[in-house]
Amino acid sequence: MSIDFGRAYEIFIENWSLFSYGIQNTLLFAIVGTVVGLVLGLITGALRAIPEDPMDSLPVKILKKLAKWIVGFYVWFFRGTPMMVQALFFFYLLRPILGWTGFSAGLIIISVNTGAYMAEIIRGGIQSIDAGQSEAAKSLGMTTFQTMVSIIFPQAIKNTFPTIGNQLIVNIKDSCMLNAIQVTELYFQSSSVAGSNMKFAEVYFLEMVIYLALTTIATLILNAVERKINKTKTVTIKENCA
Amino acid sequence: METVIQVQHLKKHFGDLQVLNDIDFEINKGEVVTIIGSSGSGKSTLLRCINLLEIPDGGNILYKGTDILSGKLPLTTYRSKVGMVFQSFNLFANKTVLENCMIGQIKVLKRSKEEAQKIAMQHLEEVGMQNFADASSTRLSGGQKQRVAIARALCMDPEVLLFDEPTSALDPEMVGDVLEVMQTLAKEGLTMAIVTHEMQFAKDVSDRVIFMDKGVIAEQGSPQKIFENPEQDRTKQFLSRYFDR
Ligand SMILES: Nc1ncnc2c1ncn2[C@@H]1O[C@H](COP(=O)(O)OP(=O)(O)OP(=O)(O)O)[C@@H](O)[C@H]1O
Ligand SMILES: [Mg+2]
Repeated sequence: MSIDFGRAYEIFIENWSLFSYGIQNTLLFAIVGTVVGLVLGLITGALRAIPEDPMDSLPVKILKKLAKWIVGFYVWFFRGTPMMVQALFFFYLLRPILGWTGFSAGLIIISVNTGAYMAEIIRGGIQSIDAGQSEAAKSLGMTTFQTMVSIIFPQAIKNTFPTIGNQLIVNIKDSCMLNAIQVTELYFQSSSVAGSNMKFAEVYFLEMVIYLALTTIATLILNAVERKINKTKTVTIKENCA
Repeated sequence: METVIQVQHLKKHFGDLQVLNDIDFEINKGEVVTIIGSSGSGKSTLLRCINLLEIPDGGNILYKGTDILSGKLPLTTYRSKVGMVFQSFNLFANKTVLENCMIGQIKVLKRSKEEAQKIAMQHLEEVGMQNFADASSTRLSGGQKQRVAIARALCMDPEVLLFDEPTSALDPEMVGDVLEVMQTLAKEGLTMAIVTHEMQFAKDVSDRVIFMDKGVIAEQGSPQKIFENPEQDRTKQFLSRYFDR
């Protein structure tokens, strides 16, 4: 029971094109999943967090209730079942209608799955913002939509950025579940390399090192971005002539 | 005299609590109306109803003769005409001082960026905050925030400005700066309704003082009448807490 590191390195070099294709896809699925998931989360999280406005007409009130109910179901379902099962289920369920490939199905599944987590993150972020922010926007005559986009979302994203960023890390790793619908991401590629040369421990060791490298780099980038958005603009304030 | 806001038989309750009970009053153009009264008497709720941040249960609110609850006047248009200055400032935390003053002009009044900036700078100058235009709004002191909040409201060219205890959250040494700005606005003829606990200020700037008690207007009149010759015992009682006499 030992790992032949020299052999592992050789395998890495010999199969670089396979690994690099896998890495590209893993990053593609992780990034698309996180970004599209964030957009979905902003919409659904906002629908869930919007308080009832007494000025709403009855149809609007009913629509809001309905939207809250649908979003609640969405979050409940996608957070409560494994992504791999979701991928298999929807891939086969919708293939006759959509004729989609595992690749496009995978992109949609990871986005919709991430969206369910983002919805909860964003809802929490929105609810933590002082009600005075949207009251001030309303008092200027801004619409709910303008208020959300210009005032509430930027603050909610800033306040929850570490948690949002964490979803990218999760997605780098969890995209491996999409191998079930033949997405050629890093895990899928590693498994075929392992199957062809029978050096399982070496190949999976390599795979782990690559995942660690990807998540470490992503973490460093996220930390840098976080520092940047937390840095309030420092301006030299000229003498106060009030 | 033109009436800007006419409140008729206004009623509002929260649960079992009747907060406003048959309120009638008007705000005329160019007038400074101050609203005084003890904590919980419904002053904030009254202002919030006028701006439709709370929806009245009964009665009417007319803006220049149009019922604002009838749907004839778009809510956003109405709100842009009726500015609000909050006790807790509520500056947009993700925006700079200048951006705070521009966003309403751009999004609601559809002014160009250049025009909005020019107007914003004029009003920031008016409140003595022009040198802080690029500062993050979260970095200011309370008094500075409130002056920016006033400038932000002025940028919308409001017909009337509602103030809900604009100095209550301020350190004592900041109160004067804000009151001074408001005093200047009053002199310039801006129509204002001000909820305040600053009795000396109310006495100095008001054209009319409204004393609220337990959800009703107990007494109203000129500052001389309310502060020097109140008719009602509850007015006297309330004022005696502010003025030793
Ligand atoms: N959203 C709300 N839900 C329930 N009760 C409320 C709500 N807003 C206000 N109240 C209650 O209504 C009453 C009047 O409140 P309001 O804020 O209008 O008083 P106020 O005159 O402004 O008092 P203060 O001088 O303390 O600001 C209070 O008893 C308050 O607790
Ligand atoms: Mg109040």
